[in-house]
Amino acid sequence: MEAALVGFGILLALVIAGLPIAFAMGLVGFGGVVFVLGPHPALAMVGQIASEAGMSYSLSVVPLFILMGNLVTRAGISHELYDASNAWLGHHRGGLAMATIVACAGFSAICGSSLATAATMSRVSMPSMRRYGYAPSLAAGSIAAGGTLGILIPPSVILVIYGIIANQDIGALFMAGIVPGLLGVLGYLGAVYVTTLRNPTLGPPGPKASLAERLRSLSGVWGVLALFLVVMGGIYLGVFTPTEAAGIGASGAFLFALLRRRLTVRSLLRVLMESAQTTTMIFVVLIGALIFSNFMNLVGLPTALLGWVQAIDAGPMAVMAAMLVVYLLLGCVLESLSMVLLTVPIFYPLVEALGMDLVWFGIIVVVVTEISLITPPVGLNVFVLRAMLPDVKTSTIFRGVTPFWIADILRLAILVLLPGLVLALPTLMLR
Amino acid sequence: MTEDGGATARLVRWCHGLNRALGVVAAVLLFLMMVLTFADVFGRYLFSRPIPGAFEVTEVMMGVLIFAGLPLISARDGHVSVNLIDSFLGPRLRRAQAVAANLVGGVALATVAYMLWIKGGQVADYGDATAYLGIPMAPVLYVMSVLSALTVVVFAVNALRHTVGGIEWPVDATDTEEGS
Repeated sequence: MEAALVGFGILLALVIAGLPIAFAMGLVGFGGVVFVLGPHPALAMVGQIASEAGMSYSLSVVPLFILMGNLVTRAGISHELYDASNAWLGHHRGGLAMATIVACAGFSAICGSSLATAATMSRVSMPSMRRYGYAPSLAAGSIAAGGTLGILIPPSVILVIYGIIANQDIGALFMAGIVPGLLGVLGYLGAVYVTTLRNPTLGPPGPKASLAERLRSLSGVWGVLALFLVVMGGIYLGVFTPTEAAGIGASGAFLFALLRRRLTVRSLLRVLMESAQTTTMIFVVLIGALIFSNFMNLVGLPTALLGWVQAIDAGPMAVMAAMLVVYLLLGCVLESLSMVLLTVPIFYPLVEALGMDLVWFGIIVVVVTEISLITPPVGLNVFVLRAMLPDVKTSTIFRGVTPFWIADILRLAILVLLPGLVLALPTLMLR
Repeated sequence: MTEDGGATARLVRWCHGLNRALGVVAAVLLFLMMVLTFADVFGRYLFSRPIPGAFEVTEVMMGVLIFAGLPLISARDGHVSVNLIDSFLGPRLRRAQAVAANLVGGVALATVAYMLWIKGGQVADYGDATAYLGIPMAPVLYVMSVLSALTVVVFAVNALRHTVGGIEWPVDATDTEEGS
């Protein structure tokens, strides 16, 4: 137990000092195993983990979903998504911000990354919100918050990683993400509604579109809808595995981009190289995390935690609450992928032993991670926006994000108290 | 320093060329992986004939894909890290931080390269191959090991680049954002 705590302390110190997280985890994990078992088992572990994590069929779901998201981004559907949601919502008070939220949700349905969602949507929706005199705080806040939906609405890279570490069915996790994702959209729409109710000058209504215009706007988004339905429907009906779905989705996105004449050999090469690089980045962190969690298991941290929880006779809800506090605190310092990779291997045996559902826990972890993306001081989505909109101050964005943050906390409470909301769809699927 | 920035600049350019080539390799592998998965599923449903051993080919491609991307990510200081204290550090400390990160990365990848090589040797002795297509595993592990070793070189060059200062990685036409 002491070894685990010392290891964790060193790890946090190295990470905060700015060492890449993967190497910090690998170094501490390796050093720890050397300390407990000696150098030979530690070295063997490195070779084993690097080759197994590298050559894994089920992990090929990661690059393929990343590729799908990047290809669709390249196809430039973000404008159509925004125009369509705007045609339906824009004339309400705060309507452009609401349209931003819905467009973000649509974009999340093919892109598994929150940062990419926030970056893409800020390019599309910020100019029009500016034109209609939206307050920068509300405009930027809605993009930053809407972007967090990227990691919850499937396909989601974080959910895939969670599934791999906690041995959960990735298809079930994807299905479980849908209802909480829609809840998130509703919550954010509510946040815009309340914000503009209190101060209508923050988000004046836009022009009203005719029914014909509304229907026409939908023709621009059929591709996204079709792609999402094929990928998720295929997984739901068991037509193909999530890995296969990723390959189908990427191929579909490729054809879609070709049909829209948005691909040249050069831009295709660039999209492929970018996707491959993101994959490498994720796998390096994954390998580091596996080494670290091997060490944590070796010194028996999960068992010790469980013993401790049983000794003080804490109920599952108290444990859950304590874990959520840990996540919210870590989320202030760590970036989302490393936060999930660091904590899940330690927490999931505990969650399992307490009789809680691991699919549900995965969704809770992702929702907390979403919250951390817009929580100061390291709200990554806020910094993405800051980079895209140099004239808006960070403090303004954080102020604008606050109502969304409150909506998120409410949603988290609902999902923790009503696991049925999360588990209904995956249960139906597995039947 | 000479007109081209001297030996370090030459090394940087050499690594850059290497990264370009490996980037193309990774891109092609990813594209093939996509096509293969697509063909496998469609073959299974339309003609009741999945691609034999698609599973194993994907595994091998994954291994090479991931390790082929390593030198490039490392060259750009692109590994995921937390920049919480960066704004408090002066330029000298920041450079020291970057050099240290690259050195640690180099040692880590040297360990990985060494162990993958050893593992490749063991696997070669057993004659391990994939179950269906019989793809021998040793060469794959050797390739992964060599790619890790190249990453060590890139880490070293990058550490040198940060130490010397003032040398940037060349920028390619494909690196620039064309809007979306």
